[in-house]
Amino acid sequence: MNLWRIIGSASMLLLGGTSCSLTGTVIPLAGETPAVVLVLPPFQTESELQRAFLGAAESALRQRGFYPIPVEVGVDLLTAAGVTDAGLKTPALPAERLAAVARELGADAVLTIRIEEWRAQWVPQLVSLDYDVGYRLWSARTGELQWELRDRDRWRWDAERVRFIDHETAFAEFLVPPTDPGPRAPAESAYADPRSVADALMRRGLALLPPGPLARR
Amino acid sequence: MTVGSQVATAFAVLALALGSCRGPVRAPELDLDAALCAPGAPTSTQIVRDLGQAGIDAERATARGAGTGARLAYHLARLGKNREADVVLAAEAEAFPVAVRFVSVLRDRLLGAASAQNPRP
Repeated sequence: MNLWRIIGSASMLLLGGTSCSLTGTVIPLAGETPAVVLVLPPFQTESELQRAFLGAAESALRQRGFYPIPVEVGVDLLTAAGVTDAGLKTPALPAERLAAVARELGADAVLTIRIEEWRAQWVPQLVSLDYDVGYRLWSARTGELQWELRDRDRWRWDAERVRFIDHETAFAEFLVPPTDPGPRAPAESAYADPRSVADALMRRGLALLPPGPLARR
Repeated sequence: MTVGSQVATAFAVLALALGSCRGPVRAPELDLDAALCAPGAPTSTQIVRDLGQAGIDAERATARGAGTGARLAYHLARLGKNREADVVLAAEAEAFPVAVRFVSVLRDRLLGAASAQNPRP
């Protein structure tokens, strides 16, 4: 990692700390901005969460101006390539192998998702969530890591709003862009299942990537 | 009237004459309607019906963001509708030139022998 990337990482950490928008670490995008992105099923997690994050990644990438390979198409192609099995079980491949598979499928980059922690409680609305999710973007051309985000936090329902445990930012304020007032409470909101929360997390996370080539100017 | 404006007028008249093909192309979105207006191509109604019968949310599938054409073609090919899949993939490649390589790979994987018989440049 070169000096500028280290400085960039430190700045992003500082930014995240002051705005309370993200708790984690970000390594800024290095190299050529990709267009076509293949999303791998998240590692080491249950199938429902895998599907939630796969769908969320596709949607967030598209919104950010990238061309995501549709989930079912990507999974089929990865299965045919012997990378993923029918149950979406996907081993962490060496970067070179990952890049070779992506190149063969016509992708410019691969997005991998690692869910280190996910403890969510819905009764029936979301009352708590502890998460620790890492995203990595790998270049298909070089096999090198291009971008990385580690996002982790804890949210609790406090009878009025879901709040972060360690600071006062409300759940809805975190999840919804500033231009959209958004729901005031999870009970009124669309955050009723893992997919809807994954959607919000991915949207916020990928907002830290520079816009893709299809972004509206 | 200049030659340029005459050509523009001719295109405008042609677009109006084509009925459902009219309207501005909203790049970089998939212009599925325009693609399906090609002679002999299926109608979007047929595609929606076919996908609906296969249990695919056809309304969502016909949204036009990046990758939509690939998704539609994938499901169409699985239903054995290779001609329709081919039309949609061609439209996808035209709407999203950044994805031409991926669309070409997908076309080969989905249509196999059919694409060998009818190669696209």
